[in-house]
Amino acid sequence: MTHTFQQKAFKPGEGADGPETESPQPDFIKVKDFNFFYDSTVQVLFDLNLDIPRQKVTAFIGPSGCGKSTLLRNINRMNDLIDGIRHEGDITIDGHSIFDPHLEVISLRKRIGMVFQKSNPFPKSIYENIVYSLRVAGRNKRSELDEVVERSLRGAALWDEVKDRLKESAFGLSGGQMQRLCIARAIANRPEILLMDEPCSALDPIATGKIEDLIHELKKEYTIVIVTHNMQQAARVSDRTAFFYLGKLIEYDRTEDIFMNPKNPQTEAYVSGRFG
Amino acid sequence: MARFFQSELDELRTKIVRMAELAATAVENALRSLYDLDADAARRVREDDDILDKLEVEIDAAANRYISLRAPVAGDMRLVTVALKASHELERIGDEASSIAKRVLRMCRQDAVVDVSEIRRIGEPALGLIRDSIDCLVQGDAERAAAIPRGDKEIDEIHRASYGDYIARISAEPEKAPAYIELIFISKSLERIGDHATNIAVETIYLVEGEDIRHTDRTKRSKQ
Ligand SMILES: Nc1ncnc2c1ncn2[C@@H]1O[C@H](COP(=O)(O)OP(=O)(O)O)[C@@H](O)[C@H]1O
Ligand SMILES: [Mg+2]
Repeated sequence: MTHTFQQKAFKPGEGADGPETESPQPDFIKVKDFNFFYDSTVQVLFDLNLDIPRQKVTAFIGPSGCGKSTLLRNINRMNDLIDGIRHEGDITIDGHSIFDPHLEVISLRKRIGMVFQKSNPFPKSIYENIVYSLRVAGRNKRSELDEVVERSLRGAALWDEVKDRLKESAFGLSGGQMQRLCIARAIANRPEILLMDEPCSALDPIATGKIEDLIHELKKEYTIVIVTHNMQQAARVSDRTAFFYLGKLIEYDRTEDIFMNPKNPQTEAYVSGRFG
Repeated sequence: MARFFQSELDELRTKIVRMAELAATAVENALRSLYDLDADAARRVREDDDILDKLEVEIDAAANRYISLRAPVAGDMRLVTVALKASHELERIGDEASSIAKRVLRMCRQDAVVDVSEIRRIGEPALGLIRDSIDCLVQGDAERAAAIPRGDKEIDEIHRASYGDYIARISAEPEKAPAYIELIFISKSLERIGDHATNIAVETIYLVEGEDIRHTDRTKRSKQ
């Protein structure tokens, strides 16, 4: 591509977000005075308060071990599987506490899809990977499953690449495709929220670019929270960025403010790459 | 593969092109307001300068944002830095047009009818040079851009050569000296506009070829 100021056909604002101008979305996920302990003595999250807007991408950044994944895994109560954990404070989604004793964790997880660092397809076909949770729920109607597979794969920008080999093993896919398959699987149940924990850290730059473009598309429909140790990625894909250090929320703001004009010197040091 | 944020560069391009058109039009309108001694037209040139100032600020903000959030490299980075510099040159061209218009307003108040043929002699090539340099920038035409410094040198010479003419006119019509002094300043503004055209041309060459020819032999050669 030659670089000139010659204009291409485009509509202003199309594709690009530009500086955020629209009125802020009502807060969707609220973290309130949240403390978290892996056992009664080891506290890893301290007094967290943050509001995550609907249909935006919110990035958690910070040095490794600062508690990003722990907070993320609290949002869908994945940490419940660990013995001895304890929390104080609350997390609400749409005003309802996720720790409400009357709430079934299964129904919470239906509203939340999760994508991990290492893509973890089941040792099954591409097709079965996507419909797995539906089958578990007893939904086996062929036409319905076909519909879910196509919608999910299209949603994950993978359909065109795999539509002719749906019955083949998921392990035949490239790393980037596997990760997009995991995203397809995560959106098969039409969740409202997508949690992503370093979804690109095992991918090359091209595959990473595809996932980032996909995230940009997905936020039209989903509320996305992404943990990333790649600051440029946070800058590229997110609308809000939260910087954590040693289990504390140091700064949380519009992404362009965090990267262009952070208020806290620790944030500035971290995003400038001269931390510690 | 076009990334989702690529269109932000297109928006930056659009703003530069719009600013370039406005800057060239400002010079043209300022000159016409002089030829017609039209105070209303001169006033409009001064008012329109606000749009250029505003665009410069917008381009700065968009370019800084792009650098901070998109980490551009290679051609993308050159495009952004050239946008920053070109917007500054265009803003300065707008300032010169505005300054010409201010002097036209003064001349309108003096009500002195003077011969402006010296200004026509420098104004037409200066306007032409600005239009050329903008064209090169927009089209990414480094070859034509390389010829701009030569045109600028010619304008410098026309400007310098006009001193004698102005002295002769002031001696012949001393009562019109204030108006002729305004014309000397207007001539100086047009000469500066040629400098800005050259700077835009140099930026165009950097944009297209990645080579910075400022303060090099290539610049000297291109003036010959
Ligand atoms: N299952 C666990 N049991 C005990 N401590 C843990 C467990 N998982 C993480 N931690 C500790 O909690 C802290 C935060 O970890 P984590 O949330 O994974 O950080 P990050 O995702 O920011 O790298 C670290 O000190 C880590 O050692
Ligand atoms: Mg982690």
